[in-house]
This record gives sequence, structure tokens and C-alpha cells, in this order.
Amino acid sequence: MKVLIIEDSRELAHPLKNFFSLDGHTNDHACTLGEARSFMDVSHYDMVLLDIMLPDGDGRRFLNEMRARNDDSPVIVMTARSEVSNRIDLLDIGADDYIVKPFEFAELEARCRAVLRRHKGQSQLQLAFGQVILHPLLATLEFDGTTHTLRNRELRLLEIFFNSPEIYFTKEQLTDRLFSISESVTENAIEVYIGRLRKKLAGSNARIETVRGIGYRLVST
Amino acid sequence: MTKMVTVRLSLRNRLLVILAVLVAMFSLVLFVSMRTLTGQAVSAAQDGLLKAAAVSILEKVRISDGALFFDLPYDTFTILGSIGEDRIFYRIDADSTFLTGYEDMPILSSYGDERTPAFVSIDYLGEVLRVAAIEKPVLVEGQSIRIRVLIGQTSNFQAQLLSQLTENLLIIVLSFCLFAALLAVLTVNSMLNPIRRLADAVGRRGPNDLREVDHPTPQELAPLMTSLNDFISRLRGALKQTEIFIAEAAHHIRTPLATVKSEGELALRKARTPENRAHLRNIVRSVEQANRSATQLLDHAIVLYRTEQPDRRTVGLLQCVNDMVFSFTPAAELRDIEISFDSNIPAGLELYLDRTLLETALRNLLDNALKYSAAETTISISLETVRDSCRVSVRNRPAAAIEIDQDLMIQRFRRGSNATDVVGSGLGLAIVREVMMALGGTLAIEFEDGGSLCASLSLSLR
Repeated sequence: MKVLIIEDSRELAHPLKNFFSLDGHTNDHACTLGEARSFMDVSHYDMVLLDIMLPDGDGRRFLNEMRARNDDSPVIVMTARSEVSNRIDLLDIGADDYIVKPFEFAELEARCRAVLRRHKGQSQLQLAFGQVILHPLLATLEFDGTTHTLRNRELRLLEIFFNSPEIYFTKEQLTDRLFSISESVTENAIEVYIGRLRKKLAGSNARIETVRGIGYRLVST
Repeated sequence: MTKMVTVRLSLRNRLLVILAVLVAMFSLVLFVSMRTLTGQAVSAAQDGLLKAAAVSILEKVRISDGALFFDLPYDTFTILGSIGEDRIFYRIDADSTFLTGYEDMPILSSYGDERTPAFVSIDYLGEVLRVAAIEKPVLVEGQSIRIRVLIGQTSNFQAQLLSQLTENLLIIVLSFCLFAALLAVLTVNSMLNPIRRLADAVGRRGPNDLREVDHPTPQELAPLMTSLNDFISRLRGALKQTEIFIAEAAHHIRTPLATVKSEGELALRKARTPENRAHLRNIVRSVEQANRSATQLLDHAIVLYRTEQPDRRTVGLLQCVNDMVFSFTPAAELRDIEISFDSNIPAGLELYLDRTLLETALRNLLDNALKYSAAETTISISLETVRDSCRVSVRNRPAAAIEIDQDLMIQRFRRGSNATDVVGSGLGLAIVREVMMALGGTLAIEFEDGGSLCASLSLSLR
């Protein structure tokens, strides 16, 4: 996925860029609407993250311009306003979704996924490991002609493994990625999801291996 | 509610009092003048008759063979006597010699002549007499003698006539007074009508109609209109500033928080040692706490501001709740929580209220439900009409056991017994309660059979 981040705060843009890079998504950063126009003139983006208050204008105007020239690139607006009606106004002018600052990467990821799912043709995005194919936008797992539906946390956990196969992840690392930092989580919560995924992967040539004292990793059998 | 300070006497009453005093004074002057003139006219009429009678007596004086002869003019007396029941007295003297008539009638010190008799009112026999006195010199045997005629008449008829005329005069003046008072009321009302029309025009405006008032008004109200429009302009500016301030505050608080949170999350993903991870988790958790507090304090500020300055519009309730569900679904999906929405209200049902306030209440209610729900459960939202009100209910299954003390939970910065490990500020339900008070609705929280917690907002359909 190719992402354009339009955000005047370099401090906020930096971790966003890193986040997308870590997940294997190429990205560009524009500090102003002028820079954003330059990027969009020469490249197509699968996702645009748009801030509203920018030094050289209002992000909503930029969005209007995009839609006026029939550019239907998915746009998620990053807003500091939490009123729903304010956000609904953003949808009315053509935003695909909005996210209120400050947000968790997991929520941003979920909203990106939901927006991409709604866009036609984007459902072809898939991750493969051995004979197993993961469709993140459809939240399904496919092998040997069988399809398994995944719950959200199962999907996100599997995405972590599929993006970094053979790599060990500690229980804490996985917990931090899977659960919101603001919620109460028991130490062994991650084991429940690992157990479920093992059941769903049963019969395929992929399995989740546990190494005591180190963590979990996705390996092929 | 602001108490309006008013002076004791209204402008209308003040004008009416002034006009009433003027009318009363004018009526009094009118009455006294007319009464005086009438009295003078009645008196002049009697004086005219007395003069004619006196002259007539004097003309009947003859001198023959050096002697004076009188023929009393009975016809004149008859005329005088024909008017009412008044009595007539007369006295004729030649110089200081009494000739005929009532001898005890007092002699006057001065007499007039035939053209201008002297008139005087005297007390005689217990009555007031109007007296005409004239004298005329005649020559009797070469000597000049002044013939003095004194003729008087009681004034009972005149007094009666004057009394009747005064009565009529009083009726006329009172009628005039009433008519003038009526005119005063009509005039005052007519004068105050432009102010009333202006007040109606301003009063009919919606609570957020802050356009300048361009209602046609008389020139005299121009300073008031100018001041009113200046005030509206300043108010509009102040409200705009407040809105801008809230938006700017949100931006300036949330953007750096977003930066810290994102950097923290990123660092957490890259951190290798358990110690570093623990530190970073603490940082991210604190940022989340700060964010929630900032969000709810901003919400609280918006609620207080909107309670004073509500932006009431017709709001489609179904659409409003749908938007809310759409807004929360991705966050719920992250925790494998499903949000179900069920409604039995007509699709076109609209309420006339401030949408932002309603959304703030719904958002805080849903946010609470999401925070405290057990994973992989369902939050059920139902929308129904109950008699003359509609009810939005949010049901969830709490992750931890909870004791309900509704009075405690809706207090600011107080949190439920299950909130220990969950980030929050304790303002959510207090905000919901304040919104419901502003919207004239109610908030109820109760446990239902099966362990579900149900929070309901009820709003009147009237």
C-alpha cells in the first residue's frame, strides 16, 4: 500500500511514516497542501491521510478539489475535533473516514483496512505464507480450498506473523500490538488468540511455534 | 434564568401619568374659567334687568308744580318678578330724604348714572341682594335735587341657574376629560407600537439568529437600534471567538498528544528490553489518560457553552444514532466487540434540539460502554418511543463486576467500581447528565436480568 501523509507537524508525521514503513507500506510526507499537490501530480496513492489545519490552507478545501477532479483516492481525515457532526461534515465533502487525534496505530490500521475494503478492487490485497493466503481486507484465511473467517484480533495477530515470518515475538510485544494500552488485559490473554489461530491453521503447512522463554513465531512445516 | 431589572413605572405608564396630569390640569382650568364666565354671564343678565328697572323708575319721575311725582313701573316689577321666585326691594330718595320703598334698605356710598349704574351685592334681611344704584339730578323750583333709585333683587334664581349650569359644565368637562384620557391611551399605545413591533421582531428570532436587526423603526429609536446591532455584532464576535478557541485548543492539545502517543507506540514496537517496554507503556498510558481528560474537559466546555447558547435545529434521531454507530464501529472491531442497532421509531422522527449536545451525550455513553465491555461481546443500541418520549438505550456486558451507585457515578471525576484498570477521567457520565439536563431529558443506569448494564437517555417528543 502506498500512503501519502499530509500533516504539517513533522513530529507527528515522523512516527506515522515509521509505522507504515514497519508494516511494509511505502509512504510520502507532505507538510503543506502545495507539497501534497506536487506528490499527487506524479504519483497515485492507495491511501491519503489528511490533516485539516495546514499552513497554506484548509484540508477540507483540498479534499473538495480532489473530488472535483474525480480523484477517488481513499482519504482519511485526521481531525482534532471530536464532535460527530463535525466529522459527518467531513464525510459529506468526500472523506472516506476520519480519525480523531491522538489515535492508536491499531485504530488507524483498522480504519485504513475498512476504507480499503469499501473501495472496489482493493479486496485483492493478500498476504501469503506457504500454502496459506491471508486476505486482510476480507478478514479470511484460505488454504486447501477452505476459507476460515477471522475475528479482528485474530486477523491482526496473523498479520503480524505474516509480515514477519520466522521472527520471534514475545508475549509482551504481541500484547502491546493487539490490545489497547488503555484497556485492562490479563497476562495470558494472548495465549487465547494463539490457541484459536493454531486451530484455524490446523491442516495447513503453517503453524505457530512456541519457544519457552522467547516467544512465538510463524513457521512452515 | 436571568432576572430582568425594570424601573417601577413603565414607559407607557409614565407617559399616561404625565398625560393624565396634563388633562386633569387642563380640565380644571377649563372648568374654573367656564364656571367664572358663566357666573359672570348670569350676573350680567340680572344686572341688565336691574338696570332697566332702575332706569324705568327714574324715567317715571315727573316734576309738576314744583313737586315730585312717581309712577311706579309695575310692569317692570312684573318682568323682574316673573323670573323665578326672587323678591324685589327698592328705595327712592331725593338727596338724603327717603321718598318711597323699603326705608331700611342701606344707602350706598356711591351711585351710578343711567348709562352706567353702580352694581353691588349686599346682605339684606338675611339674604344676598344684587342691587343697581343710579341717581339723576333734577331741578325743582330752581334747586338741583338728586333723585336716587336703589333696586335690588335676591339671586336665588341665578344661583339655581348657576348651579344647573355648573352641573352641566362639570359633565362636559368630565366627558372631555375621559375623551382626552382615551385619546392619551390610544396615543401612547400608538407611540409605543414601534417599540413593541421591534421587540416582537427580535423575540421571534431563533436563538442563533445573530443577524443585524433591520426592522423599520421611527427615527427616535435609531440610537437603540444602533446599540442593539452593535451588541449583536459584539456577541457574534465573542461566540465565534469561543468556537475558534475550542477548535484551536483541541488542535493544540491533541496534535502534540498524538505525536507523543505515536512516538511512544512506535518506540514500544521497537523496544527490546522488558524495562524499556514497561517505561514506554507507562508513557503511552499517561498520554491516553491526558487525551481522555482533555477530550472530556473540552466536551464539558462545549456542553456548558452550548447550554447557554444552544444551536437548536431539527435533528433526525435515527440518522444521528446511525452516524454514532458508524463512528464507533472501527474502534469496537479492534476489541472484537459488535455494535448492534435496533430501532422501532419512524425513520422521519425529528427532534428540535442542539445536535452537538445530543451527540456529546451519545458519544460519552458509547465510549463508556466500549471501554468497560468484555471483549467479544455485543453492545446493543435500541431506539424506541415510549408514550410521548423517545428512549435511546445502550446495553453492554461489563468486563468486571460493577456496583451501581447512580448518584455517585454521575458526579464529576467519580468513577465506577470497575474502572480501576481502565483509562478514564470520570467526567463521562457527568457530561451525559449535564447534557440531558440541558435537553430536558433524563439519564437512567440499571442492571438488567442476565448481567447487562443498561444506560438510557429519554427525551421528550413534545
